[in-house]
Amino acid sequence: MSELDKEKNTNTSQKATVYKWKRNKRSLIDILLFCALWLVIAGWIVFIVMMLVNKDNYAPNVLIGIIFGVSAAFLCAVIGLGIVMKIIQDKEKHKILESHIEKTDEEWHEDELLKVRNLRTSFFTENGEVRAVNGISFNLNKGKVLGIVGESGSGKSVTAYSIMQILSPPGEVVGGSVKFKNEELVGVSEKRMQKIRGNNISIIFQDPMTSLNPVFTIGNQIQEAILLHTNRTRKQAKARAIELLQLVGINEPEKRLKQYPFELSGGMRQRIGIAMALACEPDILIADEPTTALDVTIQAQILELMQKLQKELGMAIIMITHDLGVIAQMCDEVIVMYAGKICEQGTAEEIFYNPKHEYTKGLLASIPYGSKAEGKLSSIEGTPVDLLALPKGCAFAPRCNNCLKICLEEMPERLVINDDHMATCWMNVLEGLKDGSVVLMEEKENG
Amino acid sequence: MDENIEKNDMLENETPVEEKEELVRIEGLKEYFDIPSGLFKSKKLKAVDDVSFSIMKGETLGVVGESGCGKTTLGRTLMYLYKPTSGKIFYKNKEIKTKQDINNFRLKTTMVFQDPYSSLNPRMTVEDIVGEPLDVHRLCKGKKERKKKVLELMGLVGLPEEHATRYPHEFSGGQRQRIGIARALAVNPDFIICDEPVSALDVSIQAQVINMFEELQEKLGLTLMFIAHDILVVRHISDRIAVMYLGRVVELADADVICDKPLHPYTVTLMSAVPVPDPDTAKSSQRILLEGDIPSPLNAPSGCPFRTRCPIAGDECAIEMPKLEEVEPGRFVACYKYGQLKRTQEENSSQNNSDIEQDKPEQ
Repeated sequence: MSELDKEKNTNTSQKATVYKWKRNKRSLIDILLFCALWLVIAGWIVFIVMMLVNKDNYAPNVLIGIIFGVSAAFLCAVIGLGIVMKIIQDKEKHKILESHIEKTDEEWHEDELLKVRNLRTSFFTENGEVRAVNGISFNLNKGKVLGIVGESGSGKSVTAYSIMQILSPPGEVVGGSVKFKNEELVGVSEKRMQKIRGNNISIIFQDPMTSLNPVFTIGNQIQEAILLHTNRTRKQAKARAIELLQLVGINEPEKRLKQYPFELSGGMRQRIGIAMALACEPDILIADEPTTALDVTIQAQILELMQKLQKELGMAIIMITHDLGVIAQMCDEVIVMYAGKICEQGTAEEIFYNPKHEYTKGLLASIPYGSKAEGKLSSIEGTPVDLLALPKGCAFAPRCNNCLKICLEEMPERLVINDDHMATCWMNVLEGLKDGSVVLMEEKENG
Repeated sequence: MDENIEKNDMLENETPVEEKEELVRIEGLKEYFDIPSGLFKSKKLKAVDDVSFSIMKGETLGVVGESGCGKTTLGRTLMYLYKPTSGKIFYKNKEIKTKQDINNFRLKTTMVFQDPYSSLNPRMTVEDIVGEPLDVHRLCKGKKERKKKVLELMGLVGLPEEHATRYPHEFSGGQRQRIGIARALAVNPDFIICDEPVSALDVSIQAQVINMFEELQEKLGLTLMFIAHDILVVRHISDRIAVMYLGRVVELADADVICDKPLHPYTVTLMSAVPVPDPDTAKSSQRILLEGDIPSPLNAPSGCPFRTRCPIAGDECAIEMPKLEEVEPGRFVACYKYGQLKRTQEENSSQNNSDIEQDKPEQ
């Protein structure tokens, strides 16, 4: 039996405007603080210069000294006020966010680690609000590998950044809930989040060339997390760092600790990134396109390493990638994203062998697999959707070959195909109506 | 498995019958770069080292390899964008020597670049970008003819006419690559060198561009050299594939043969490292993992460049680089111990396959 799984239809845009206003005000304070700082510095420079020039006559110097002293005190007061206001605003922000958190009274199961419900993240650009993540929900259980797949701009990385709360200013989480071990992470204080980041949830970034700090040694960067999150001494931290480098398969770990990132190859740097992420034995490892920048043979090494470590340490992995081959090899469960929404989610076998969304079908068909003799690839026509001008109905409808009238008008709801498979496509409703597994509301009332 | 072997046997039997006309041939092409290593000293970086092959008219030659193996340099040297250190390039059996020859060769050979974002001038409209080769080679008389030709080219790659006055930043990645391809087609070339044309694109857009290449090849009778690191893509589009490692071609054969029955140990590991978009196969297949990274081309190992990572390397591999030899008709391998690694993998995978068949529930 299939059933329609209804989600709350909340008006995000209204909340977003409130939010935008708050953001502008905060940036004004930033500018004020900046000006005050420079005024004080400039004042002191003028004061010193005047002292040097008028060595004989002290009276004007004293006067100038008093003027700058007073203005400096005034500006310090402004800065102080600014800081206080910032703190107040941050608290307000949290209050607003808290009001946006959807209180879910779902039961918390033992083996659940992460529960994301209706998460929404927007970027407030000059051209308008970009809803990069637009209401996604999923669960992550202990020791599972969850894959998130989609085109560039579909919101895969932003999902990861929203969970970690490492979004940079134009982007902000505007609603929804992320629960880690039954603790709400959206709107939690930065202090608490710092304790969780790297310790409980850690992330491997896409580009090993830019995600390491070029002016610190490898050892310094790995030990940072260990010293921050555990009670180890420096010596113990170093020993742990060496242990980690051995774990990720780097030879001569003691020598490597003293090297800088530029001295290592891409594959080695990604291993360092993994070692850093594993430093505190996290419960969840988020891998944001960990192998995209690497060659196939190195990619195979890294994937094998991640699989081995996942089995040994029993952590859960969120694997973000656009490569369906990587997904097939690594993941137990798969989420397919398009335009900030989940269009299909289920076990890897279900997604690959029984796709129920037109986009997933198109994606699978457009992978070149086989020889030239097998003829043309079936490609998805058109270009990816513009997030600034999302269509009214299903975001994929303009590119869909089997587009129905209703697809252009209304966003389909999530349809449960079976226990481990959900899809958001009107085609399934149509099929369900044909074979009678889906019944229209009116018919239900009448009959 | 048996079907595959049969198919391959058929292919092998067919190839010698179809004698095709040779379009481009290179012999012992070398491209060394001087890297300063001291005040007066410099080291030789052997980006392309002694590469010879020929490309038949109307075929697609795929070139695969890891980053830093010299595939891009090979493409550029072939177009005389770098002056070759030594070696000969023949076009239609005529050696290219003088400047005039190079100019004529470039009229018939064009290039599509990897990055659709940086290979188009942001200050030029699409019309100017596509029309530039026409201006350079003075192929058009007057503005009207030029415009007509540009619109024709844009139609060929599926860009609407009204896009002619737009600038590159107004287009998405896939559309930009179409502009790049239209520019490459402007001089009516015989031969196009495609340097990773789809690696910057999303899967769905990638399929569009690959299809377009195939259509254009059919329509215009083009010969393609398709450089890419994605083996699934190369296999789909190519007739023959050349595998490169540290500046050398280590194996060259028909696309299906090289993918299904690779002989060189590097090709074997490369093929086993490709992530297959199929959960059952991907999770069950045994991978042959290589140790370590590709060595720096500045101090490449003696003898066979692959021997430092090769699982079956012996003493003779360190002494001299094995030559690229024809071991079967149309099949070239540069290895003393070719074919030895594959056998062990086949045994493993056949064992695995039987395991899966037992595990699979009856449907």
